[in-house]
Order: sequence, then structure tokens, then C-alpha cells
Amino acid sequence: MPEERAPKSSGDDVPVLSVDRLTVRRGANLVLDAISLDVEAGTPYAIVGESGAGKTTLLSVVCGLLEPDSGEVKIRGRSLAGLEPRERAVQVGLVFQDHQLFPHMTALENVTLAPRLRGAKNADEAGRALFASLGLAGFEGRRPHEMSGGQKQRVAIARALALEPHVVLFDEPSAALDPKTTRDLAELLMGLADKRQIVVVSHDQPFVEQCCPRGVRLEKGKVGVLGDAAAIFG
Amino acid sequence: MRVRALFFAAIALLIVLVARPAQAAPDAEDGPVLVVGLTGQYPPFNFFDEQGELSGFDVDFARAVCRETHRRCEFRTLQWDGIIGALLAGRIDAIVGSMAVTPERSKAVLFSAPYYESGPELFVRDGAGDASRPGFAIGVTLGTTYEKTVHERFPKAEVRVFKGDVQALADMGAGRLDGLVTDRLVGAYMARKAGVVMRPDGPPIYEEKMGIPVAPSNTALHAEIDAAVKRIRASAEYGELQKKWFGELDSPGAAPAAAPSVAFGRAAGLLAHGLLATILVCIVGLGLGILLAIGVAAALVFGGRLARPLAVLVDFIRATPFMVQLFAIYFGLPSLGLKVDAWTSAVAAISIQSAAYLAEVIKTSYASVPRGQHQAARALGLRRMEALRHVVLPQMMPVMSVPVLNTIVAMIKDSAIVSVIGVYELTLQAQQLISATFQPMVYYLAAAFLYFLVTYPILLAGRRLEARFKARGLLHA
Repeated sequence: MPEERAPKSSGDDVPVLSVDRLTVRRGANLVLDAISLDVEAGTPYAIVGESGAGKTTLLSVVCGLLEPDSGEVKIRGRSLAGLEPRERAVQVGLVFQDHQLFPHMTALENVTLAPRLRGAKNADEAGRALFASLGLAGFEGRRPHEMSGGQKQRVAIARALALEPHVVLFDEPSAALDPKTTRDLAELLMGLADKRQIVVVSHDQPFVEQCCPRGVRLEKGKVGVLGDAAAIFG
Repeated sequence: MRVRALFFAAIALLIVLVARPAQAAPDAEDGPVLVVGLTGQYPPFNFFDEQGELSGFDVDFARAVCRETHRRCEFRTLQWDGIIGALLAGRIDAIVGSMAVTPERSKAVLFSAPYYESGPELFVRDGAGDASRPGFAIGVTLGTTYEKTVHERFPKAEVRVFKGDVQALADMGAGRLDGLVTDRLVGAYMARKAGVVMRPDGPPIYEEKMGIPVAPSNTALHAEIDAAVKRIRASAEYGELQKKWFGELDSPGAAPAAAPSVAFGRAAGLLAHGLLATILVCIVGLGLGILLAIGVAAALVFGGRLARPLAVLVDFIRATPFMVQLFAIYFGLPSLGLKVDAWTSAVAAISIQSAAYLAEVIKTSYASVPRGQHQAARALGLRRMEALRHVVLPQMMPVMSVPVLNTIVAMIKDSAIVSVIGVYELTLQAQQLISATFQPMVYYLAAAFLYFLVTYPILLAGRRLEARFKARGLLHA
């Protein structure tokens, strides 16, 4: 596939995200079947496929919520195997489909929690800057139950960006969004891709076509098709 | 922090106030202690008088025995049906509580020579009719020799069993009982003092001899007490004691006296003392219970193999009566060589019972935090304790605060049960005031009001917390 512009290139040609012979079994089933995949730094990358193809499992393994039976995940050439969640979180962040904001905290507290626990002195300031850049200025003191779905999603994005990970994963980000919000989100993701690798797990073709010039289609736990949006939805 | 300092100061004050000997103080003489068991609810033999002091014929006689055997008397009040158990468990050394010598009891304990003779008599409420009629309701105290007698002598009567004569008398006053069978002297005393109009129905049914039992292994003490009883009976002092306690009762036709009253200040002091004891036993018991519950809940959630047997144990505690657990600790542990006093037993029982309930509440509230929240914390790189503290616990709070406060309120109410092993808390103080004054309505109402004073703010706090959590969107309406 054609090499994309590499905004956060570290100067060498190591893929930003690399999956090597990853296998996950569930009982007798192979959910991921020795899957290997390299994602070069660049535009948002889509992982698509039918239900049960292994998208969510792959995402869970990459962000450390699930241990693979074998194989490994590397970010910029560095293996994530054996990393503590604390170290892993600066490599890869995750935006949950249902946001999973902490309901007892304000929007800003959601975003500054992880940096504060790491001793960041300017967590509040950085958080407010993130809010401004995501069009969330004024929402800092809101609690999750006082915000719309689209607003909560932006807070969840801000939270994932707060630790400045190299890769940010999005799980079905366009689910439950109206067309206008979906278009705004696509634009936002394109913008965010400047400074980190965005990986989107989705089965929403129009959305993927709007924001992801490239990706992979998983089929039964294996790499089916690599290519642009048209190709992977084939 | 000032609030916390005040809180601890208040607890310290409580401990100081309550720790002063609540049970009747030992007599001033030196020498080894003789722990004397009695109910404190059997006037005029042993009861709490208008000053709240333990007094009566038994008490005076026990003091004489202590003097003769060069011991210090220490009195312990217990329920009648548990008093032999306490003797055999070594919690008391002797019973000077008007216990009749019977062949059955003599198999279990060693009786001294009799220290007085009396006998059961039927007392009948005015207008109750003929005692031989079917359905005539007769009250009798559980575990007494009279229980069997009543069944034999009045086969058509309906026999009702009470914890003590004072309770039976209250039922007679309320018109629910037609008669009661008790010691003739006790009945005569109550007829005079309680203001319940009742009269003896015929002569005493038979004669009983009252002895002082000790544990069968305690033969040396038995010999000493036996000799002392004989000496006292032979002395002039014995006649004086009889005159002091029964003199006026033996003058037939004496007008019924008004029910004795306890000075308001004195009664309020006793109830306040009982309330403080209730608060203290609950603070210590529930405090330990909460700590224990946290440990148990952690083991239930994270304990792996330990979780399953522990869950069975928690269910077992939740499924058995609090009073049975209390008795198991107080009467059962001594047989394993562990002698814990009534206070410690009460605190232990409250801790164990509350820990079982609270652990279940904590476990349930932990399970109510969605899996996604744990995953979100993990994806943000939070360590396990960080996730627990900043993400999981704050979400457990809304779910568990009301059930926890309800459990605490239920436990405070159940703490009344520890009165049965002689912990001088609110209920027992009320019962003793009732045995001195025969005014159950006044003192049970006062006790209820004092319980309410403690529990209602907790219920209110629960309601306010609930409203606050709902306003924050952390609890669904």
C-alpha cells in the first residue's frame, strides 16, 4: 500500500503500531488467528469487519484490556508485553464506544485524573487547553449526566489525549451519533491525526469513508483485505 | 479535623462514663471475689430499688455469706433461664437468687443447705372468676419449678410462660392474665407494691426449700457456703433479715401501698447511663464490624478460593438469630477455655453480625460498578489501588450508603438483645426501672424515645445522602 505522510515520524521507518502473530482463543474458537499487521504513522486507520471478525478483541489486546494467548503488540517498535498499565497508557489510549466517563467527576476531573495521579503540575491548565481545542470550553464543570452524547464523546477523547499517547484507539465512535455530529467527528479525527496515530474500529462505512483513507478488513480473525475505504468494504 | 477531634473526645467521654462499674459494685471488704448470680427481677428477694440499687432478701443474705466466707460479693444479673448455664460455664460462682432445691437441679449443681423455705401460691386478679374453669389464664416464669406445678394442679387452665414475674404481673395489670403462680412472699410483695389488685387463692401449693448452688466441681466453695448458711440461719441476724423484708407482708389485711416511684432525676440518670452504654457498645461493635466487613468483602471479591467458604460463613451468620450467636459466644466460648465477659461478648456478637450484613452490602455495591469503568481506569493506566480509590469506591458509595446506614440502625435496635446477658444498656436499665416501679408503659416508652433519638438522625442522614447522590446523577430515582 502507498506510504502516507508521517506526521509523528520518529525519523525511521518503524511502524507506529505493529501486531505480530497475535492469537486469542476463546474455548475451541480462534478469535484472532496469528494475525500480523503493520500500521505506518499517518492518516486515521480503520479496522473493519463483520461482527465476530475479531475487531473488538484486537482492540482490547492492543490497549491491554485482554492478554493474548500468543504474539505481541509493538508501538513504535517497542513491545507492550509485560508493561504495567501505567506505562502502557502513555503508548496507547482508548475512547470507549459508550465513553465510560466517570460519573462522579466533572468533565475536567475526568480528563485530569490520570495526569494528576502521575504528578503532572499543570494538569488543570493542560486539561482546559484540551477542552478549548475540542470545542468544549465552558463544559469543564459539567457532570457526565448533564451532557449530550456528542459532548460526552469529546470529553472521552480529551481524556484519552491527556496522557499524549502515540496511538489512540476509537471503538465504534460513530455509533448513536446523528449525521451532522458524525461529520464533525470525522473532521475532528482527521485533525487529531496530525500529532498521533488514530485507529478506528467501526462497521459504519460512510463514516469510515469520511475520515479513514486506509485500513484493514478482518475476516474470521485474520487479515482479509488491506487498502482504502472502498477496498476494505469491497 | 476539628470535627474528628470532637468525635474522639466524645467517645473518650463515653468510655469514661460507661466504664465506671455499671454492675453492682463489689462490697468494700478485701479478699477473693464471690461472683453471685441473680436476676434482679424478683422482688422482694432481689430487685433494683427506687435508688436503682440491687437490694432484697437474697442480696442481704448473699452479703452475709460473703462476710462469713471472707469474700467480696460481686453481683451479676442474668435471665433466669440462663442462670444455671452461667454457673456451669464459670461466669458466676454461686446463685443466691431464690433457687428451689429439686432432684433435677441437684444432678447438675451442688446445693447448700436451704437458706429459706417458701412455696408457690396462686394469685388471682379481682373478678377473674374460678381458677378451675377452662381457659383460666395463669402466668408463670420460664424455667421455674412452678411451671410444671401449674400444669398438674390446673389442667384446664391456659398456662402462659414469662421471662419473669414482673412481666407476668404487667400482663395481669393489663387484664390478659387471670392469675399467676409465684412464690407466696413474692406475690404478697407485688400485690402490695404494684397496685395490681390480686389476692392469694388458697394456701401455698407445696413447700419449697431455697438453696445456694455452686458448680459441681467446686466442692471446697460448696463446703464453705454450706457452713456459712447454717451459721447465719442459727444467728439472730436471720430473724432480723426476715422481719426487714417480709415482716409487713405477713400482717394480713394490710392496705395495698401505692406503686413505688423513682425520683425523676434518678430514673433519667439510669436511662441516660443505659443510653450511653448502648451507644458505646454500638460504636465499638459496629466500628469493628465495619473494619471486619471491609476485609471480608475484599476476600469475597478478590479472595479466589477463599471466597466460597467465606460466602457460606457469611450466609450462615445472616441466616441465624442474633440472640443465638450472642449466647454461643457468651455461654459457648467458656467451654472452649475462652472466658469473655458480657461486654466483650456483646461487642463481638454485634461486630460479627454487622460484619456479615455489611460485607454483603459492600460486595453488592462493588458488583454494581460497571465493568467498563474498571476498564476505563485500566486504559488510563491507573494502578489497582488508584482505580479503587478514585473510580470504584466513589461509585460504590451512592449504592451502599443507604443500605449501610439501614444496617447500622437495625443493629442499634438489635443491641437491645444484649440485655439478656446482663449488659447494662438502655433496655436492661428500663427493665430494671420497671421491676422497681411496675410502670412498664412509662419506661418502655422512654427507652423507645431514646432509641429513636439515636437512630432517627441516622435515617435522616441516609435520606439526605440519597437525595444528594440523585441530584448528582449517581443514583437513579
